[in-house]
Amino acid sequence: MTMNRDKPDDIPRAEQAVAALVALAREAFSGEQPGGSEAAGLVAFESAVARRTLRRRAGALPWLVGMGAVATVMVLSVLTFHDRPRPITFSVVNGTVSNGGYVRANVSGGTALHFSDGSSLALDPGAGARVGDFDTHGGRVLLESGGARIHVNPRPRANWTVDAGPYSVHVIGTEFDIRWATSDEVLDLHLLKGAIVVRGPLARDGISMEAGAHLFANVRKGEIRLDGQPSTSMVGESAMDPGAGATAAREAPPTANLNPGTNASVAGAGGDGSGAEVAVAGAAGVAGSSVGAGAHATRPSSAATTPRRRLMALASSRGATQDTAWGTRLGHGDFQGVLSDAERRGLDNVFATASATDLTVLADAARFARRGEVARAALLAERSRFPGSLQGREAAFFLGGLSEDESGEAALEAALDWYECYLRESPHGGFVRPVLGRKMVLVQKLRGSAAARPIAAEYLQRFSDGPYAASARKLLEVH
Amino acid sequence: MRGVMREERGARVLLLPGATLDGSEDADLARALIAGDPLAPRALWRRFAPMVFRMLRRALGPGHDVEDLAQEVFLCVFEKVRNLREPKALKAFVISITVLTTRGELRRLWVRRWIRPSGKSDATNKAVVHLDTDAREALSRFYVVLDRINAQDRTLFVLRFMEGLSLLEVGAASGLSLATTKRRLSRVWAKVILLVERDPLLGDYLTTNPRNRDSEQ
Repeated sequence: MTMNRDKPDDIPRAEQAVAALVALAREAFSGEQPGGSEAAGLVAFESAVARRTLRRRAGALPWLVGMGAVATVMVLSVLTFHDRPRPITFSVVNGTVSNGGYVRANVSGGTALHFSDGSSLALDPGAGARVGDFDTHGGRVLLESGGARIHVNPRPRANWTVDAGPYSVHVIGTEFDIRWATSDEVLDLHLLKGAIVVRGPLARDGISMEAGAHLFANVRKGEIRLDGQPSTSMVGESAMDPGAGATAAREAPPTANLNPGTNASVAGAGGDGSGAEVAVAGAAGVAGSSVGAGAHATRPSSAATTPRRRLMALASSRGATQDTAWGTRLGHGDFQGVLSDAERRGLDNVFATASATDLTVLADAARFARRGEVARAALLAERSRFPGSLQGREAAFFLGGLSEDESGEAALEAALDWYECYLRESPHGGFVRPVLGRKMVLVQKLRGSAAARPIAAEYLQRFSDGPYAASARKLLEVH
Repeated sequence: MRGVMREERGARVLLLPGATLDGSEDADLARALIAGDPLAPRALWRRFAPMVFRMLRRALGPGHDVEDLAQEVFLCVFEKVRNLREPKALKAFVISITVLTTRGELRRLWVRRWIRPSGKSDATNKAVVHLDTDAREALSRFYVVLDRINAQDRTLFVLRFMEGLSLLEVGAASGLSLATTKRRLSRVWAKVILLVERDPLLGDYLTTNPRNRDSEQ
């Protein structure tokens, strides 16, 4: 054994014994221990760094409350400075808040914080945020996980800061959607109104964003992208709809928001599907640059097309009823776990007895796990057992996508039938925009451009800035 | 701002290179921390977490959850790095904070054992999994021996003999002069030998374990 020794020389045998024990200890604690605590600790450390100012503020509160003398001073202060501007306060709707200002959104959605200055924060289901550092001009919001829509009421000297992971957004008066995926280290930010400055990794000096801009940052890959594509998928949604993120993810073309790894076949509209990029090519093949340039620029890593984001949105929005276990597993990407569980119970039994939400989650898991036959059966069960329900009607959209997975003209005809079925049943449904776009593409393929033009016109009339708008315009321009 | 701005199909696209502090010098990382670079805490963790975790585990022995202590170390580094006069000395700075944290924890453990003597049996329950039973037992006994040494001497022992730091590094991390470091190390080494010799279980393990017999020959 080689080691440095600073010891007496008269006890060599005992020295060797201790040396052996030291070597044993070195060997036992040489590398990372099982469980990956070092990696997990990084997340905690970064959160702690971001939180430290908030924690300092929260930590002082119990002392203030506990000291009677200070309470007296506070009473006097209130009496003396009655007319002075007061720090911002807030109320929480449909969520829980702890002493430290930590707000956890309900899984059922609808969680919102209303601040006394007129600003608001709508959290996606399951999201967590910490609020604090309030003064008369603003406060600080730390989005720990999930997505949120933030509206800051523009006022003179308004000063709000929103932290998401290592990123910090300085806000004066604006509205934006923000999502931070802790596990993927991905920030996705759509600015709807106003202007903001984002600081963080790769943006040390700050990135200024204006209304309509979209920022996507992947810290792990060291990648940050800013594009000028108006965030059409968000703008159309209700400003305070906590499920807006999920809706936005769904509204992307179905070729882009389906199976991770199988979207190549879903992108069959292009004929040679090979991933999300092909989904663009598929549409573009019809009529040139169909998808907005910004969307194209961010597509390879855009969160809008990232399966995980969609999964998390689905898990939080769909799995929020009876079988939250399936919803949670879906959100964590454990598709096989959901499928195995269903198979253990008996698929036929599940199709016959499961709730509409469970069937939806099962169908999603099956699609993501490339088990098309199970997905189709689950979706058909939704339609037959819950006709007229939201899930039953939405199943038509997904059945259309599954049909597009298959090859041959008959499959495309079937997909078209499902899309028309959806439009008939849900003329104002959440998937109308992608369905109309897909219908346009399929009709052009199957029946020619002339047949597709009326659909293109309708699409432009209803969704002039939608993802298929460029294709539709091209179709009409050629005419 | 670093990066390239270009027009792509009518959109403003900003592509930034994968700037990272992971491969930077310690001095650069220290400067980034002082400047408040948001990327710096991550780089700090990635660079020094293996060392900090290893030191804590070696100093405290089996059965101790070191995650919280590691958080304490890194938050302390983050908070106090502004006081670092020589950015090149970041590693030594991290080591010294780890030593201080370890020392504090050892003192806490000592007080806990003093108040509640039965608490020390925890070490044997969560022993390291990849050692054989005898080795686990020996390791636990060895840390029981180390528990009888004061916190400062114990951290000196760990830094010098387990971490293999030079005398100068040990002294710097512990805030001691070279002479004092040598003197203390000599004293603690002799004490450990004495305690090991007096421990019947350790003596038995060291004479019956073939590997140890080989090493003694």
